[in-house]
Amino acid sequence: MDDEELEMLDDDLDDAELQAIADSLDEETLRAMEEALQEVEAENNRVKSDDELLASYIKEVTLAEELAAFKDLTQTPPEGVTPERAAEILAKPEESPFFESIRSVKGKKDVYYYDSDNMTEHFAKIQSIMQEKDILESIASAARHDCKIYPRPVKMTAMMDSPYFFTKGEIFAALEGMKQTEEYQDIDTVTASNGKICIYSSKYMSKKYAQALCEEMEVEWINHL
Amino acid sequence: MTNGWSGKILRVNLTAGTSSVEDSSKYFEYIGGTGFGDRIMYEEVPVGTKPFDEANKIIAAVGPNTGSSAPCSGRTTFTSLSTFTKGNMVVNSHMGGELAVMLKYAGYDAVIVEGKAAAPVYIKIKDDEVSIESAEDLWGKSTREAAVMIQKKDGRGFTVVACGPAGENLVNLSCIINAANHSAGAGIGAIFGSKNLKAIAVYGTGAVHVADPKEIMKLNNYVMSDLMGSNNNHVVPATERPWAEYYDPDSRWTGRPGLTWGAAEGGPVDTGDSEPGEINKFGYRCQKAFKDFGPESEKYTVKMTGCTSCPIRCSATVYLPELEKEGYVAAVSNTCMPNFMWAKIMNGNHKDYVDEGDGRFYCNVAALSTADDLGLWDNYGELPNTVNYFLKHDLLKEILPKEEYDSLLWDKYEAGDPAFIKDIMTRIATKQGELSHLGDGAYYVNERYKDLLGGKYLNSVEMLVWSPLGWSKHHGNECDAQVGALTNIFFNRDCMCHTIVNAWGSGLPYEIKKSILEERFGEGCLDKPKNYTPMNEAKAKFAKFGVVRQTLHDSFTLCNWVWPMTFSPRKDRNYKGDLSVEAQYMTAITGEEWTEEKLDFAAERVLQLQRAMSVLWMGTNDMRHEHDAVNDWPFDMEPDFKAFEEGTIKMDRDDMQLAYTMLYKEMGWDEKLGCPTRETLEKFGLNDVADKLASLNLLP
Repeated sequence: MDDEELEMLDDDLDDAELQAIADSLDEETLRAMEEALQEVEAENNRVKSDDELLASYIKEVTLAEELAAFKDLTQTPPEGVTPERAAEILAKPEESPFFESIRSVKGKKDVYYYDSDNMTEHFAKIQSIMQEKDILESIASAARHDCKIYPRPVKMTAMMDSPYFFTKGEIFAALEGMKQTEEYQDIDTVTASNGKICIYSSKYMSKKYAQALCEEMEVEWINHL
Repeated sequence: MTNGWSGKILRVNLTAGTSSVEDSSKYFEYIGGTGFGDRIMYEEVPVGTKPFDEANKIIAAVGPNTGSSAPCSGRTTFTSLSTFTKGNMVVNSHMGGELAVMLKYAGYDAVIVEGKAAAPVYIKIKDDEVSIESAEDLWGKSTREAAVMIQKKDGRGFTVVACGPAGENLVNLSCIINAANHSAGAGIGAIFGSKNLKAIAVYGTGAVHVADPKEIMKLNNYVMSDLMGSNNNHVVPATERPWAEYYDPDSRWTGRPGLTWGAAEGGPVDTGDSEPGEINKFGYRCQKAFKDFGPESEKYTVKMTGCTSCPIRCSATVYLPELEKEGYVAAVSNTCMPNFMWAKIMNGNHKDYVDEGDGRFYCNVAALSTADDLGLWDNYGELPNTVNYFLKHDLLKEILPKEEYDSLLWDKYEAGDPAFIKDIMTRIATKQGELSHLGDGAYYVNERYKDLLGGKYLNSVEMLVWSPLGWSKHHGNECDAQVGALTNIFFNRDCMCHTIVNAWGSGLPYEIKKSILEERFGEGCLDKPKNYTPMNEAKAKFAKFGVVRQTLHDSFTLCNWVWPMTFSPRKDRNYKGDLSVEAQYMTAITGEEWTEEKLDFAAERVLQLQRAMSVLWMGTNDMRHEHDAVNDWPFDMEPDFKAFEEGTIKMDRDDMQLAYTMLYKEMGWDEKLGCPTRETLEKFGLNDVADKLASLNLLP
C-alpha cells in the first residue's frame, strides 16, 4: 500500500498506526481494499451528467436537513450545471433516473426539492415554511397538524426546540400577529396550571379539550409515567 | 442439559445456616420469575404468615429467557409478602441490573431464602459454592457501601444486591439495590432486614444454553432493527426529525443532533440521530437525564446506563461535584420516578447551585442519591407525595411532638436546601420518632392518622392511591380509561402494567394506534386521550392482554417497561409491531414449538394462581368488593367535568362495575364475585388450588 492509499484510509491516524494496520491485514483483505479504493477513485473521476449533478446536490442539501429552492437551483446551480439546464431538468424531473427519490413541496414563495430517502414529506413541509422565515405559518401549521392527527395542542416549548428554535419573544410576537391576521383566527393558546402555554387550532379542537390536554402534557404527565 | 432454564433452584436456610440445590423442572409450567415465585409461595408459605415472620420467604427468580441475550432480558423478580398493603398478601417486585444474568450464569433459576439468621449475614454464591457470611461489619452501611465492601472482600466479579438502613430497620417502604441503582421495591428491603440478611452476592461463570443460538441472534437483530423504539417503546422521536413522519414531545426517544452527554469522558458526546434500523446507534436514542431532569442536566450527563442485555439504556448517569461537597454520593444513575418526585417535598423552593434555575435538578439528584443509599423505596412517588401532603396541609404539627417538629431542619427548608429532605429520609429509614411512620405506606399512614385525615388523604388526587388496600396508581385511568384502570386489580401492589401505557404513549397518531389495536382486540378498544367512551368487550380484551403479557415478561424474563412490541418505529411496517416475538424466542431457546397462544396461556396460569392466592389470603371470594374496590378520586376528580365528557379522565362508578364484569368474564372468573371458578382453575391445571379453595368454601 502506498502513502496516498494509506492516507485515504483514515486521516485521523498517523503513518505508523496506518502501517501497523496495513501490516496486520492478510493478502485477501488488502486486495479487496485496493479494489475498493480503485472503485472510489474511478467514481470520483467519472464524468457525471447534469441531472446526476443536480440530484446529488439536492441530496447533499437534504442531508443538512434543508431544502433546495427552485430559485437557488436555477440561479446558482451546482458546479458543472448551467442555470438553463437546471431549469430544464427541474421542468421534467421524471425523465431522469437520478431524480427517482427527489420530491418537491410548494411553499408560498417558491418550490423546494428534497430527497425522500432521507426526508419525509411532513418534515419537508415544515422546512419549506422555515426557509421562508414565516414564523406565523410555522406555528399555525404545527398547531393544526398536531391537533388534527394526534390529537394534542403544541407545547410552546416544542417551538423553541429542534427544528424551530424560535425564541420566546418571537413566539409571543407571532401569536400577537396571528390575532390580527384573518387566516390565523383559529389559532389560540391555553395555559396550564403551572403557567406553561400550549397552542391549538379551534378548527380541530375545542378550547376546553385543548386546556385539558395541555394540563396533561405540562403538569399531569409526572403522574402518568 | 436443559435449554433456557438452568434446571436448579438454590435453597438457603438462614436459621440452619445451610444451603441445598433442588430440581426446578417441576415449576417450568410457571415459566420462571413471577410464576416460580408465586407457586413456591403458594406451596411453602402458610396463609396468614406475616411479612417479618421467620416463616416468610424470599424468592429471587429468573426465567428461560434471562441471559439469552434477548434485548431487555436482564430482569429478576423477587416474591415475598407485602409489608405495606392491607392483608400483607403475596407481592412481586421486579429488578433490572446485573443480578438476573449472574444468577443464570451461576446455574440457578431461583434462590429461595428462608428462616432467619441469628446475626447479620450475607449470602455468597459463586457458581455451586454457596456460603453464608458474616455481615456484622456491613450492618448500618448504605446499599452502595455494602456492595463495595463485599466486592473488595470477595472480588469485583460479584454483583451485590443489598438492603440499606431502611431495610435493616424494617421500614415498610424499603427496597434493595443492585449495581448502585437498580432497585426492587415492595418492602423487600425490610424482608431482608427481618431475616438479618444484608445482601446477596452472586458471581456466575457458567453459560445459558439455548437450542438455536443463530435464531436468537436473528431475533435480536429483528427486534432492534424493526420493532423496538426507545424506553417504554416510544416509537417516534421527541422532536421533528427529517426521517420521522411523527414526533411526540413526551417521547423518551430524546436523542437528536445537538443534544449531548455533556460530561462524557473525553468531552461531550452528541446523541445524534438513531434512525429505525440503525441498531448500532440504539444506545443514543434515550437521553434520559434530559427527559427526567430537564435541560439543566445536559452538561452534567456522563452517559446512559442500564441493565444487562438492554440496548435502551434508560438510566441516566449524572455527576454533580457540588453535591460531593455537601456529603452526597454525587455520581448517580437512576430513571423515572426517583429522578423527579422527591424535590416536590420542597414545594418549589430550591436553592440554586451553579446556574440560575438548576436548584430543582440538584435537589432531585441529592434526594435520589440519599434514597438509594438508605434503600428507601419511593413506591412510584407515594412516599414523597405523603411527605408533601403532610407538609402542604400543615399536618406535621398535628402528628409530631413539639420537640420533634422543632427539630426538623426548617432553616434548610426555608433556604431550599435538599438537606431538609435528606434529614426526613434518614429519620424514616432509621425509624426515628413519629415522623418515621410516614414510611409505613399509605394504607398504614391512613389507619394511624385516620381521625386527623378524615378519609381525604387516601382519596386525594394529590396522593393517587388507587386501592383502599393501599396500593398506588401505576398506571390507571389515564391510559385508555377503563383499560388502564382494570389492570389495577391483579396485583397486591401498584400494577406496573406497561403493556397499556406503552401503547397509549407510543407517540403515534391516534388513528394509527387505533387501527393496529382494533385488529387484535376489536372495535372500540382505544379511546382518544381524555375523551373516553363507555366500557365495551374490546377494552376488556385489551386489559387482559396487558396483564397477561406483563406477567409473561415478569416470568420469562423481559422488561415490561419496553415490551411487548405492539408498535414499530418503521413506516415500511405501517408502524405495526410483532406480538409473537416472545414465543419465537421461547421456541429458539427451548427447541420446542411455542406459539403466542401457548405462551400467553402459561402466563395466564400464573395470573390465575395469583388471583386464587389473593382469595385465600383475604379469606373471601368477594373480590369485586373486598379486593378490587377503588378509592373515590377517579370518580370524583375534576368537578367541572362529567365522566365521558371530552377533556377528562374522570370515571363513572356504574361503568366501572360493568368493566369488572366484562373483565371477570374474559378471565373465566365468577362474573359477580370476581374469583376464579373451579372450571377455570382446572383448565390451567390448578386442580390442587381449586381443591384447596373448595375446602375453605372459597369457590363461587
